[in-house]
Parts: sequence; structure tokens; C-alpha cells
Amino acid sequence: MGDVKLPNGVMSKAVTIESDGEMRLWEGIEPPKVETKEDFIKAVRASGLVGLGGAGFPTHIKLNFPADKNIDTLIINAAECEPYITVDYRECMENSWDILSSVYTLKDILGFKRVVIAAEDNKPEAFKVLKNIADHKDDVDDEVQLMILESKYPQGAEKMMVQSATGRRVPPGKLPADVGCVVLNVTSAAFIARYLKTGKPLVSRSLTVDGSAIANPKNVRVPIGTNISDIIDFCGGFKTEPCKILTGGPMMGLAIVGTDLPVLKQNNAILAFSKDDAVLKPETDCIRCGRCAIACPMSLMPTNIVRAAKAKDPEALKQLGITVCMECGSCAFACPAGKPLVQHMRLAKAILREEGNK
Amino acid sequence: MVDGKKLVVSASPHLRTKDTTQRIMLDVVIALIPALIAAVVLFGPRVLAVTATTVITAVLSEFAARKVMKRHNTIQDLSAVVTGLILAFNLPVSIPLWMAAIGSFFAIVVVKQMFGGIGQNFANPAIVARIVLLLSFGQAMGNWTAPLSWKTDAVSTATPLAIIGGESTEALPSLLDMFLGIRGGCIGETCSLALIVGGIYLMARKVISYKIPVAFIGTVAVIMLIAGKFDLEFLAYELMGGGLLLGAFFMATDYSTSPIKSNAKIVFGVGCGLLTCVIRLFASLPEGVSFAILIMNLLVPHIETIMAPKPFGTVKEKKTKEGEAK
Repeated sequence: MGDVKLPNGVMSKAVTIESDGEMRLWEGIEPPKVETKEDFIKAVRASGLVGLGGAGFPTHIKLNFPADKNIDTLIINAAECEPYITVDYRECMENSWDILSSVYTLKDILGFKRVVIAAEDNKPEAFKVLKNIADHKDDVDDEVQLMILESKYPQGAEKMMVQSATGRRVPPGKLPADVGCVVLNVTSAAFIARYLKTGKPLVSRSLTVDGSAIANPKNVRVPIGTNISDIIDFCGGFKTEPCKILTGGPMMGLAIVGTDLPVLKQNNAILAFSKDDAVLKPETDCIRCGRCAIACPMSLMPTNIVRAAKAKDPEALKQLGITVCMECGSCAFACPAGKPLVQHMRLAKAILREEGNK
Repeated sequence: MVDGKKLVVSASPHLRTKDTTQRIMLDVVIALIPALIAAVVLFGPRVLAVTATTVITAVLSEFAARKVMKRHNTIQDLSAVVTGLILAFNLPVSIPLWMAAIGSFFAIVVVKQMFGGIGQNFANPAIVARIVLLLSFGQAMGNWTAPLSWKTDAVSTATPLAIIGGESTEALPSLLDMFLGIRGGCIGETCSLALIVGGIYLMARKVISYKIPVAFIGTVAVIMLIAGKFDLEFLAYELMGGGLLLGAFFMATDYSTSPIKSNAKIVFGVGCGLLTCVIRLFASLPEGVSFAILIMNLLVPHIETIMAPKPFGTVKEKKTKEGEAK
């Protein structure tokens, strides 16, 4: 028991486990007994599952939706959340039976009328696998469907996913459940099936190790809490001197200050970049080219939000809809002037919060 | 383990586009080069003297204005070069160089830098400078040199729109001449072919969207078709005459002075087209592109306010419940 620094810099209590090198299951591990919805939710909670796509939202809360919400659609999200990351793809290829089993279990226990398995069109091999799941003989009424979506960032984001899969738009400040949908990451879904079969809780996860500074980029399955430096060593270490190391994807991931940090449940990638890819271009003046507004998946006007944030005008910020911003980073990526737009969006949200606290 | 002190820590996103303001402006310069080459062929080496004057004055004025205002230097973004080029394209080849220099200085210092520099000006600097020169030096600005006459003796001519407007009795150039630019007019506005090539390059490079040029030219086409009683020849002269192509591809699409969102861009383009036609058909001026764009520039903030996009998922208040239940 001791203090451990997490990737975001927060100190946390943690237990250090010394391995006996045998990797055996504890005798007490057995599959949970699941007969009702309540049993199921309890089991998911006991498994320690969180959204493995990156957000880390506890899955048992997501699945325990109140009956009056009229949830009819389960969306299995097989669109990779960010560039570089390929763990969800590997999950489709390697654990398709788990996905299949999970889809039909979730449908029966939670009573979804429809299941949409959504994947991006740049992974043809994954479709073949998912297509077989969707066309399974148990699915007599064709309630499980495969949907192929355009490969674009941020396709894997929940609100984008709901719109692409069902045409419904989640209103500002609401959740997919408010439009009758539950979105579950494909790797999380596969884990549920494995847990129901074996009772082994979420103690390991797969993640992508990639980036221009990594010698042998690959996907690895690691125990949660593994030291990041050990993982990088396993992937052949660095081929050039790393200038920036991220946990998570390149668009929303966190830049870390060193590698002596543990892997967390929701951490789906470790990326290390050499100097050429890590140094951001200098910031110049906004030229009002509008590329941020074209890039924004939420139809916001980032350049106008920056102005309102500089003027500290909470009324204008509310009008501009800053609260729906999910900080996906598309605007800042597109900006030719190199503006740190995501920071401006966060500042704008902070101004609104401050106003709300008055 | 990696020594943390050597790592760069920054907020997400960690990927950025390779595009820069400088690259965008360089693309505009590249897109203007065909028209510049055409102008040199048509109107002779003096084109280069006028262009060099406006470009150099623009860059020097920008440098000096930023220095005086104690702001960081911005000449490397090439936007002053673009302003200088576009202004030169809007001048007759015979203009005294000192007048061209005054226009360029005015564009950069008064219209652009005094309102905060790149991205902040409310009106297109080259257009305002052109209008200022037109009002100050009407005669020099209306002195058109006949194309291809520079090798022998430069003779003056009239612009096609002035001929159509009945201000001159000269013969109209043929439609092929119009397309190639063999007609009287400003340095960079005559060669339709070169301007279209440049415009397509900008759209292919995604520097500009097709919406403003198409809405602008399309509106002029529809109105002129009706005004000309479906005379296609009249329509062709109206489309290739004056500064319509130069204005629609290179001036109305200026980032600072046009709307950002696509539907507002269309409104802006239609407005430019409408005003151009009103001026050409009813006002005493033969040409209205500059004034049309200028007036629409001033209306941009209003267009953007009225047509502000709805954030994702926003539902009309009355329909909220039905919309959710769907």
C-alpha cells in the first residue's frame, strides 16, 4: 500500500502486487450467476468494467438505465476512437465469439429491440467478422444489424455514433439514453461476455503502443497498473529520443511527464513521438478562414467562441453553445494559425462555470 | 525510464495540420500568377512595374505599421503580398506608379492594420484602395490601354462594359478575345481563362470554397439572362466583362471579410451578385463588382448573426418532446 502518481499528476493510494511469476487464477474466481437484470448489473459492477474506449465511464451505471427512458437501441461501437489506435479492431478479429455472445446476452437481459454494430469503412476484415455476428442464426427477426460508417474522426464519439447509427441527435446536455440509445464500446462488450463465462474481473486490458519514437509498435495485453516504461521496453524501447509521450490517442490523449506511471483501465494507447512530430507550430493571428467551424462535429464556431472567451462574456458563450463542445480537438487540428483552440474552449467553459457559481 | 525534463507536455490535440497561414497565402499568390503572366503578354512590361510597386509598398507599409504600433512583425505570412497583387490587378496599366503606391499604402495601413491586422479588417483592403483611387484620381483610373498595343504605340480604348453601356462607339471585342483577355480593362481582370484556372486551383487546394464564387457568378448570370431578354451573347459579355471573375474568385472570398459558415457564404455571394447587377444595370457606373463586394463586406457581421449555426442536437423549443420521442 502506498502513494502512486497517476498519469494526470494526481497522487492516489495503490496496492503494489508482487508477482509470483505463476499467473494462476485464484481458486475463488467463478462465473457470476446471472438470471435477472439486477443480477446482471451487479455482476457488471463487480467486474470493475469501465468504458474501455477511453472515457472510462462505469459501465454498470450506463447499463442500469431507468425503465421509463424507452431505450430501444444498443449500439456496439467498433469505430476506433482516435487515429493510431487499433485495439478495438484487434478485439473484433480475435475475440469475435465474445462479442457475439455479449450482443445476444445484452439484448435478452436488457431487452433492446435493436442492436447496431457500427464499424468504420477502413477495416474490411473486421466487417466480415462482425457481419457474421449480425447474420447469426439466432437473430431470426434481423434485430442485430451491422452498419458501416465513414472513417472519420471523431466517428467513435458517442453523440456522433448515435447520429450515424440511428439518425437521432442527442440534445445539448443530454445523454444517448435520452434519445433511446446505449452506446457500448466493442471491447467492453467482449469483456462482459468473458466475465460472465469466467468470472475474471477487469485486471488486464489491451492497448496500442505506437508513434514515431517506438522501435516495434504493436498491440499488447497488459495487467492494469503495469508501469509504462516496462511496456515500452517490451516494445523494443525507443528508436529515437522521445520528445512527447501520450497516454491515449493523439487528439484527446494526455501528455505525460515521464514513464514511471501506471496503466489505467481506460488507457487504450501509449504513443511516443520523436521531435519532428511533437513540437507544435508557432501560433499566428487568426485569419478567419473558418476551418475550425467546418471541422467542428458539433456545428460550433470556435473562432467566435475564442472572441467571446477573450471578452469574458458568459452570455455570448451560452449563445454560442460552448457546453456541447466535447474537446475532440478537430478545430485545433485544422487551424492553420496553430491556435490552441481546445484550451480556449476549456477557458470558455470555465468562464461559464464561474458565472454559474456567482 | 525517461527523464521527465526532456519531454514536451502540452494540451491536446497533439496532431496539427501542416497547413499554415503562409502556405494559404502562397497558394493565393500561385493562383494569381497565370493572370499576371497573361497581363504581361497583353499589356506589356509596365504591368510588372505597377505590380512590383504595389507589392513592395504593401509589404513595407505592413512592416512599418506593425513597428510603429509595437506589434509583432507579420510580413512573413505573405498576406501583404496578396493584397499588393490584387490591388495591382485592379488598376489600369497606365496608372502613375506613385498613385499605385498611395493605394497600396492606404490598403495596408488604413484598412488593414488600423483595424487590427490580418483577420480583423472589416472590408477588403484592395477593394477600398481601388475605390479610394477611383474617387481621387478618376481620370488616371479610367484610362484604358488597348491590349497588345504596347510593342508599338500604346493607344487607349474603352472597356467592353462601357461599350455595351453606350459610352463608347468602339466595336466590341469578340467572345474569344474576351475569354483570352484581349480587351480593355484593369491589369488582372481581363483574362477570363487565367482567372478561372487560378480559381480552380484555389478550390482544388481547398483554400476557398466554391460557394461564394458560384453564388456570386450564378446570381449575376440569372439576373443578366433575364435583363438581357435571354440573349446569351449579352450574358457572356457581362460574365467575362469588368472585374466579375477576379472579384468572385479572389476578392469576395477573402477570409476576413466574408462569412465562415456555408449557408451564410451563399447569402453573401447572392448579395454580391445582386448588387453588382443593380449597379451595372441602373447606376451611372459601368462596373459594380467592387462596390457590391464592399457593401456586402459591411453586412457580414449581420449575416453571421442572423444565420448563426445551431449547436449539434439543438431542438426547436416547441418540438422538444415530440422530437425526442421520435
